[in-house]
Amino acid sequence: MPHARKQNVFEPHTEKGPGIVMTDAVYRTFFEESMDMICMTAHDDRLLDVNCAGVALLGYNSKQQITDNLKLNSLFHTEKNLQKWKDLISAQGFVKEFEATLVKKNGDLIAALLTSCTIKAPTQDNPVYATLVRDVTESMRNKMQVHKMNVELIDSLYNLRKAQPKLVQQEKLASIGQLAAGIAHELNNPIGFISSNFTSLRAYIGIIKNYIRLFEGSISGMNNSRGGKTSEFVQELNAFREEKKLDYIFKDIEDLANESMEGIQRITEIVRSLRNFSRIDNESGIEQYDLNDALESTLTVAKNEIKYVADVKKELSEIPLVECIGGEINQVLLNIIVNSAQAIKSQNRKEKGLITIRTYRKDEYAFCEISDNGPGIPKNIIGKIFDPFFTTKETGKGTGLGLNISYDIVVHKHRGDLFVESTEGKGTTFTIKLPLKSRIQKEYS
Amino acid sequence: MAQTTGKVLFVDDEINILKSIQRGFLHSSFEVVTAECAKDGLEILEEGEIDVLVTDYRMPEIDGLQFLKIVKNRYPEVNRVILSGFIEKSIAVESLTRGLASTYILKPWMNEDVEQRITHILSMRKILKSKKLLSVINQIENLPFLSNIYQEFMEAVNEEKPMSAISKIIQKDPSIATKVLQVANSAFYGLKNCTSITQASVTLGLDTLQDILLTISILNTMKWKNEHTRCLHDIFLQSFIMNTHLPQVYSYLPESRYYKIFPSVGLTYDVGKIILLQYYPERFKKVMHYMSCHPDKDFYQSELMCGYHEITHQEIGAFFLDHWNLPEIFVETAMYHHTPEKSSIQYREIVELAAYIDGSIDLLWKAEDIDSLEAPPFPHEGLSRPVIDETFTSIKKKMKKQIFFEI
Repeated sequence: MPHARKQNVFEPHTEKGPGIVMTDAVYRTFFEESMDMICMTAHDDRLLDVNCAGVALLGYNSKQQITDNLKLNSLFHTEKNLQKWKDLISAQGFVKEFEATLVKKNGDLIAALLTSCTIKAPTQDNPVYATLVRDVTESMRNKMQVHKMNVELIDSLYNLRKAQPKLVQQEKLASIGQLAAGIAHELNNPIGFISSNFTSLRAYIGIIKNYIRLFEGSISGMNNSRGGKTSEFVQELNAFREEKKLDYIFKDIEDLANESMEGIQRITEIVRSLRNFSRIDNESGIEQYDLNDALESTLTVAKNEIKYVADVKKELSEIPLVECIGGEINQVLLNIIVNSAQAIKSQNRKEKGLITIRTYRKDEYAFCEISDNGPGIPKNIIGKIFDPFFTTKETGKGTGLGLNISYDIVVHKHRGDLFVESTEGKGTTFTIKLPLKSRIQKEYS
Repeated sequence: MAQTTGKVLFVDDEINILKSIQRGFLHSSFEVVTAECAKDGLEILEEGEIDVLVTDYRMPEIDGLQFLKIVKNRYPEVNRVILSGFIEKSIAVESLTRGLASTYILKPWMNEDVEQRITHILSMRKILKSKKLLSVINQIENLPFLSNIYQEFMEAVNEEKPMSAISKIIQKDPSIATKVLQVANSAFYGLKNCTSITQASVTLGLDTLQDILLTISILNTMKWKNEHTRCLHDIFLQSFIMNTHLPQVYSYLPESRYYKIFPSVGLTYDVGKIILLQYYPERFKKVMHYMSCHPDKDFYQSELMCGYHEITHQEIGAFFLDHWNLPEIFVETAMYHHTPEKSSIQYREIVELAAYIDGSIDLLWKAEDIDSLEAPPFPHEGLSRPVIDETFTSIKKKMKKQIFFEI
């Protein structure tokens, strides 16, 4: 490469026009004043010269300290790095932006880009290497930071993905946990009066038995004494009747049985609803789902949340079975119904509110509208209600995931739609739209 | 119809519950009336004659807690009980500590249990309202009246108001404020040099504040003669020792539920003696004299021997605590600390302990050489020997030092 070599040969004093002569001093000044480190090294690794920027970068006090003490093998952090630089420069005569790690006097490391060339003066046997050192430690550090952040982001994204089903489950547990108190109350009332009635029934039976014994005794007594003391027996029986309130008991015993039966039916209904409500969890498969029936179950489960704050008006029309994951749609219904009740409750109003539930079919979709006449949702937040972790409830009262998960279930999973209409001061309507024929993607089921 | 022991009003929004209760207590000694909502309940209460109210907690319109507050205000003489299918622990505790309810029963309930509790409440009321007791009480011209400050303070504590608000209440009564500062600056609290009530209150803590307030409030209800101060001092020292040890020992019992909730119960258990000392000094002296001649008898036994068996300091103390609207446990402890076997099942353990500690104090009080004495045995197996010994040693120490307000 004669041309390349020619460039590397030192050619002094070229006149570049009037008043500008490129003297050695000019080149020398460039060398000394450059803001980047420049150094001259020999083939035996000695540092022959270094400029001021270099002295400062490497953290020495004077040029001499460097030229006297420092050799390339201790300037480079690794022998391998140095060897690579040497190989490159001897093979091609130059290196451009070679990535090197240099060691400062105090041991700190510098990330640097080295651009070097071989200078071979005609009078010398051995070449000298001139190297421009650009300190890229700072930008490298930034890059590392960004990289690290990227890694962390990917990590947390992965963790979130992993946690998502768990969050869904937790939200479900949270909503069921909130209901548990109400359900306990709903169950304890009928169990309370049934068990009390049962105790009473035992007492009644005891009294009736005693009465019959007394009666039998009277009859045999009458037989023995040939009817002499009939009025005495009657008196005794009447006294017993009176004392034990037997007339009341005879009248009441039927009520007792009926009321207890009613209580048992109520318990059965609650238990059935609970089972209905959670049944598909175990399979989480697609099934033929009776939306109206599911609404009834959901209302039973949430009864205690609703009954003190609102009346429920049902306008359920006949709709075909819906192909969907029933357990999940139950969760959506519960979530929205309980939300409505809580919205009404938050107003602390005197008279009860109203929750209206409508179902109907249109084209190939089943619709369920849940309306309340609560406070409505303010315009500035209505766009956020389906966002994850968005909640207007005080800390600890809501996860902020309920509507988000409902949206995910209806829109993403079932390819249906979930929308909300609200007028402040008037109320809110949520509409769930579900395709009758399942469009659930394989990845979900 | 046989004479009933009382009239009990049940309020529940579930008609089936009311009907089951009616038939459940068909043959009980008390009369049952029912109402389906708080509003109807209030109407029945307005007619009077109701001794006990048993109400559900979750009800539409006026809920249980509101209802209890109204009844406590309007008809404080009606004993209040909660019967509910679900009640948060915090609400139950709040209702008891604020004196809104004397007890709570969970649904499903056992008729027998409810009957027992109501019978107990009625029998206590019967004693507290008995002609014999009233004839004793009525001789007192102006019934001592517990200052509002204590009630106000308890309200503020229960509502978790900030210390600054609580200090303001204390400042309303100069005698209480002075005492609070004095105690907070005493050697026991490290001579802190507190200048403001808030500072002093923070140093002492709520339990000690409550103790001070209750003590001063009771003392302030009466005017004291100089000749009685020595006796008064002794009674209070014993009460403080009781107050320190009762919660401490109680916490060793398995399933102790109330020790954290009622910090000042020990202070008032012997309030009957204070009343006697103030209003019946002759009777008090006579009993004390009998006691000094018969060292094996305690105050209660001496009262019985002196012919005061019908109305003892137990009933008199309980009457005033009830009159002052203090929570049920205060009344029970005062009423039965010499006869714990008669107390309600609910508070039996704490009353038994009070009786035991009272016995220990009495023993040490009369002893010539208290160091040689050993702790008397605890009547049942609830407490281990080391706990008993430790308690006894600690009581000895307090007796010697005569330290007040040590927690």
